[in-house]
Amino acid sequence: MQDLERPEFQVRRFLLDMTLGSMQSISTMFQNLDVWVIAGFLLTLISFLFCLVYGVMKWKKGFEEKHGDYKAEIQWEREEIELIERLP
Amino acid sequence: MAYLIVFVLIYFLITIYLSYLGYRRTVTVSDYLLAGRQVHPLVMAMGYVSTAISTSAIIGFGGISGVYGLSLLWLTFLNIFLGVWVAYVLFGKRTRKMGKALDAHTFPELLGRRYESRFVQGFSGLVILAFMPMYAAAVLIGVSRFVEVYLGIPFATALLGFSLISACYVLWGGLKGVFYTSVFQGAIMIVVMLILGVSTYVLAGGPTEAFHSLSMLTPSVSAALRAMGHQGFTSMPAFGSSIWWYVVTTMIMGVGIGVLGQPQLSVRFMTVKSDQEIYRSIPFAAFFYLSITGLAFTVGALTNVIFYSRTGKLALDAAGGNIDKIIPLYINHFYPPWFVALFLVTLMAAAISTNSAQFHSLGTALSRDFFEQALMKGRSVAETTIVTRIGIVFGIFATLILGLVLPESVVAVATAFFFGLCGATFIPPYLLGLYWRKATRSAAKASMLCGFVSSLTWMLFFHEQESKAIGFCKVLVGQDTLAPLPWKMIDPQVVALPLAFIVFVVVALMTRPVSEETLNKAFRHI
Repeated sequence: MQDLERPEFQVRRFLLDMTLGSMQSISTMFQNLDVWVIAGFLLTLISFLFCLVYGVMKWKKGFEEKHGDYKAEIQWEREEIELIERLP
Repeated sequence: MAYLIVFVLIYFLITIYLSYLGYRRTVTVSDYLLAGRQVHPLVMAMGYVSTAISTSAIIGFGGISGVYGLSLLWLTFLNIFLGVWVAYVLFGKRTRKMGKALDAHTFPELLGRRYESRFVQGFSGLVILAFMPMYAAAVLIGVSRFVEVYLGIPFATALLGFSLISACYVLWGGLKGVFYTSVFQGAIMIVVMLILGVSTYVLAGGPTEAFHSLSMLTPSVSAALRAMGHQGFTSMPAFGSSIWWYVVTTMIMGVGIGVLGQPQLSVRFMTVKSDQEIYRSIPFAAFFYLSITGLAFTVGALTNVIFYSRTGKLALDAAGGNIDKIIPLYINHFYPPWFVALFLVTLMAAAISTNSAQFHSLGTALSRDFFEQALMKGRSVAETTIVTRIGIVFGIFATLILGLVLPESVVAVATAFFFGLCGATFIPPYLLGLYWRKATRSAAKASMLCGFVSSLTWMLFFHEQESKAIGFCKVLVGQDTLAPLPWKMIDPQVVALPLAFIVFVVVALMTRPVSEETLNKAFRHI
């Protein structure tokens, strides 16, 4: 079998065509837009991707509280109980 | 009509059930005010965005993009970058930690405790009480206009109905009820906006054809708008023109920056138990903003293509000059009845999720901030929840009255007004209080008063949009505004916010910081 007929090559070619086709469509679409509007589009997409990547990278971080945090929790719960007891 | 009845019934059944769930799970005051500080990241993200995005974004700003075009996409960029990343990472993490350390339950309480000042808390509460009803009215006007166009129900009747509905479950459910329902409402908004976005592109012939057709409409823009700097729907207005100042400073920056000082949004950061929930909320919140405001603003601009090809008129002309009617008219004319009914339910969801958070903030501003701090001189009262409910009822009446007296095409304008006022008043003491240990009580007071007074002064005497509508300037000096171009087009926040920052820093350098004990407590977890 020749290289060009192998399934993985055809999949790769399909994906490449899709990407090139999309890029062509996007560039044609952008031809109708002012440079500032294009900048708005791109910044919107970039900021979305940035938030996505940032959130994923930090997914497992931020759980640990600094030492002594539990004291605040206990105090806070105590105040809550006092407040509830004062409710009519 | 049958579709509408079915969708509305399903919607209300689910909403009432979720609100009841919130009520059942609200046991403590903290549950009522902060949802027990145990909110899931996805819930936090959906609650945050569905509160920030309302009918105002879809109807009001969608209509604005129907007039000024795709330049509004800059607002989506600011929504995502400032409204999500900056708000969550730079403000949210420290707000959560400081709020917890100071045991703050509301946004004004956080500021008041950070600066050891009852005035700061009471004044913040008063600003919310006095001006949030205008924003709440803008949200209700958006959905009521749609009902007016779609069902032919009088605007005032629709306004009254929606005020009562959105008030109901805040009265019972507290913030837990608000959260549960806003997740459901956020999910509806995303699905419907995705359908609306895709179908609009299809109606306009696909993305490439749609933007090509939109760019071809430039010569059809009215001569009056072109003279003011309108360069077509696929271009930014001419740099420095009156429309450019209006779109950039009021619509894009006013709302984009002002979101950082929104009390009903900032309080959301105090509802999660660790930074992890904040980090995990970020991708969801960014996606919601992208799919709701990004699509609303694009659809708003593309309505011109659809209206022009079918009726020979641009969207604003088809809507009889009322910007708030562009989106309702577009949906009503070009979509099947089932989608119109579904869209109405979406608008209800958007309005109610925002309104309920606004009414909740109004209630806590009255009880916790104004009543307890300014009137009771800091004495804690057991009737917090009751006074909060009185505040909510006050908010509903104020919103109703404003909704009836505000003029047409006001939705986006009133929203931008409130965001701008909050931005100038709250952002400097909020940001510097979170980061600067030398921030002082006097600086916070001076900065808040400076931001508030300079914003209002600019609105009354310089910014033509408000000064002309209010008429105070005309009565005093016989003209609509004291400022020439471009100053009369520049949004109050652009002037007042830097001024408030400068005043804060100067006064802080000249006065003594708050006590070491409070500082250590406030920055304990940071």
